[in-house]
Amino acid sequence: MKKPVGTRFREWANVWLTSVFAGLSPKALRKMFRGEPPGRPNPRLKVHTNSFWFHMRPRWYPKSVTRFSYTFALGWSSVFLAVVLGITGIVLMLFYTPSTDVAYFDMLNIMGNIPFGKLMRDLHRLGAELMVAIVMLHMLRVFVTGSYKQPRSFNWTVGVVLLLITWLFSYSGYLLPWDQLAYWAVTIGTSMADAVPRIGPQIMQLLLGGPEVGQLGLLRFYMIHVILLPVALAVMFGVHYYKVVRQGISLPPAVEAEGKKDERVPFLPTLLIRDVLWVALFTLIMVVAVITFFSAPLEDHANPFMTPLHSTAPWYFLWIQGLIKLPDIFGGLVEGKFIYGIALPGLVIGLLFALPYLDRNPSRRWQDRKLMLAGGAVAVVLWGVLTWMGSPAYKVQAAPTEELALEFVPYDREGEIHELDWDDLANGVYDVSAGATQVNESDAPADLLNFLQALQEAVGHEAEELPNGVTTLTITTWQRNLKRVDLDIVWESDGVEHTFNQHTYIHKDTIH
Amino acid sequence: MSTESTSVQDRVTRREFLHYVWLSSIGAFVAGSGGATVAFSFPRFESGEFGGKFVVGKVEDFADGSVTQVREGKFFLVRQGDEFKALYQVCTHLGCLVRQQESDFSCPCHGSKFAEDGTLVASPAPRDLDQLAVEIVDGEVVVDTGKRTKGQSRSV
Amino acid sequence: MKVERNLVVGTLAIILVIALLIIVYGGEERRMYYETKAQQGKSVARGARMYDSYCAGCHGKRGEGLAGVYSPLNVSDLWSGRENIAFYGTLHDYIALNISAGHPKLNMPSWADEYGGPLRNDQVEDLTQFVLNWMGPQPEGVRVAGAQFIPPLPSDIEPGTPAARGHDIFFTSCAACHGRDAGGSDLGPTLVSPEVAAQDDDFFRETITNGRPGTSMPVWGSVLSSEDIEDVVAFLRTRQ
Repeated sequence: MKKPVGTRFREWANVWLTSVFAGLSPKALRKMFRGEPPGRPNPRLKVHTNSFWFHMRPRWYPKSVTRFSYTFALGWSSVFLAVVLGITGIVLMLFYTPSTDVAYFDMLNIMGNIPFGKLMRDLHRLGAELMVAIVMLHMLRVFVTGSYKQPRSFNWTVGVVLLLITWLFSYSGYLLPWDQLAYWAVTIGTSMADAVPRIGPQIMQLLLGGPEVGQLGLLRFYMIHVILLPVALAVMFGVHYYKVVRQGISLPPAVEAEGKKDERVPFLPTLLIRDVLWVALFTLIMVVAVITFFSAPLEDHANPFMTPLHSTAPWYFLWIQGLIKLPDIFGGLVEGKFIYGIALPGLVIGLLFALPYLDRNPSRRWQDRKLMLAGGAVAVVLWGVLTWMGSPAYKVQAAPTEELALEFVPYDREGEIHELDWDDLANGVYDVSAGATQVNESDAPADLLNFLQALQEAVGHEAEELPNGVTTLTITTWQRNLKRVDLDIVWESDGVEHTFNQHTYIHKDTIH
Repeated sequence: MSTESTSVQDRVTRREFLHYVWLSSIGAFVAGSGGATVAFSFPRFESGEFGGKFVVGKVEDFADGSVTQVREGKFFLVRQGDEFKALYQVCTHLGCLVRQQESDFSCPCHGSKFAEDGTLVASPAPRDLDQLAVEIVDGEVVVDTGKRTKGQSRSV
Repeated sequence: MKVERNLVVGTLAIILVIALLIIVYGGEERRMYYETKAQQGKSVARGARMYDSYCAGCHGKRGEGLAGVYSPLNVSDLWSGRENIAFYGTLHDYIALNISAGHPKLNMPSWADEYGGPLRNDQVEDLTQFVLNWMGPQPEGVRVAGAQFIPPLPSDIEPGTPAARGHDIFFTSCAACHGRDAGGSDLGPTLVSPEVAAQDDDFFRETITNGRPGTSMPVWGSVLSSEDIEDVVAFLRTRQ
């Protein structure tokens, strides 16, 4: 006798839902939601066997390993960011063509003509910057907890490969907007490749597809960024994560030493819920950051004939740029560029690779590793110092007049003058020489006066280098909605009169 | 009975309820992100390029009975009395562009013919020429090439 | 592990993200509008800088041009009547074309890299936007008139004579290149040296009327009447 339709449907629904939820019947699901312990046999464990996605996560974690303050979820975060970068990257690919004629305008289009375009781009850029930072912090954490020691030494090596992949990802993506920042950062970087002995020029040609950064280089960097590195990442990350799951996350050294049996925390439902929480929080933080203060920069169109002042590498390569600024003490035997740009960084990376095999101390407890940890601290401090040295603050100061102009009246980037509203730009000639009183007595708008006073103060700092200096700031109306701001400095040294002028044009619509 | 059955209380507990709310919010987020991605991915048309709006000219510029071809917009602007029609140039048969002849439009591919107001006169096309939305804004004729209405089906 | 806390906080965070995305979406049209305007404004500002480097030398610092030699650009009726010379494109296209490909016979060089010049297409576009920004109403002081300053007659020329009329024409049309003392400049040779003075009047008439191919000397015959040219020659003779 056939069962009534209702019952048959319910039974069918039960079976279907159970297979959709990888072995969890609706009743078992409800039990999980209610926080009740699972029945026996435990269907939640079957999920890890039946489902592709869940088979990649462990069934349970030792409790001591789940503490946030142990790993800071750094490894987890890098996977999250990789997903965010992948999604935003693919979405951006809809509107980007790797052509030197068109790439920059695609960026303008994305920012000005596509709903959510700016958001997607900013998320991608923020994700990239965070990714580099978090991957390096993850490496630091693994170092500090001594987790790179046996049996996880091989995985550490795979991790260093992943670090290099991350750096290459970020660097190849850097070029794609084809603006001044991109073009010159990559020119600097690839010309370091040139310094490798014997095969350097060939490496550079391979990367650039030509003698200099141009269309072929852009295409190659694009291919590296969207296909070559993603494939490499998938492979290497697969290995890395497989080892993590198989070997388990290393226990905190104290717990491991005690040998206590740790409580097990099941993945389903407890840690899955925590995973989703972290996804939600991290997404929220990124979205808030992008809405409030974080904006991906876009400078002027790449100009092969003009290197802007203060061109720098991306922040995670500033340490190399700092190295390069060290004095060339090799007496012409070897090029300084080679030692500082290739050999030393290569040595550092080699040391990173070899660390687990050089470290003969089997203990992970910090008490037994004081020397190693001290060495790590020194390395971090050194990295910080070199990074500062790589920034424009160290040694690449241009002439004081140029520095003044760059800060207050730049023409190729945002400066102090761009903070003013359109109505603050009152036409006139303003004397901001050291000691001049015009600014204090003027009835110009308040914000303009603040700007002029700041300028006058900065001029005063340089008074020694610019004796008998007369500095004027002139604002003129040049065209409809267009004003011109001139910074003129006249000074005398060795009886010779010197003049300096830098001017910029400001259009009303560019002021927010 | 299997040990999976829930106990006597089929009432939803607080924890269980939180799970449902949580799952719904995840669903809403996925839907929202999908929406955001679609909004992002939909092509946008500049005015003046096909897909966008064309400002063809002032109403007075077009005489009654005139037929003006706008090449980039792929349409013929036809004025009949006070009414403007923008006839989409693509033949309703298989996509070739019709040409303006002395008193009608004819398609060079398979011989379809359309009258000056777009009505189908000779097959194999199955319907009248499609029309693009025409608006008069501040005395100017604006054709929106993004909005197209299909012509009436006809057999001749 | 505080499961319920995680559920609540997680749900709140998700809802917050959704709300923020909706808010962002609401503001997108407006943001994109201002962003587009800002990009166009930046284009004009960049064009202004490039104008200083590449164009001001001939067309003048404020676009006032050089009387009779290099057209002023700061006028509001630039290039109307394009159809009369069989150009059916937009004013934007016409300006961009002139900048890119130059204008033979009028000494406008080709600036775009595809025609051998130094500028990329986007730089040509910036310049075009800057020139276009001279269209329409302008604030005071923007439309500077071209230098047509005519000094008083020298003592050896009687007012009302052909040489006097030629003096005015000379300062309007010739001094810009040949120097205010007719002694020559970077742009044009001297007209008062012994060698030049030794040439006969026909030489002067012919050169002024028909120009000199291969040099910047324009074809004045299409601008000045033959009487004007006679007057100029008369004036020059007084200086030689």
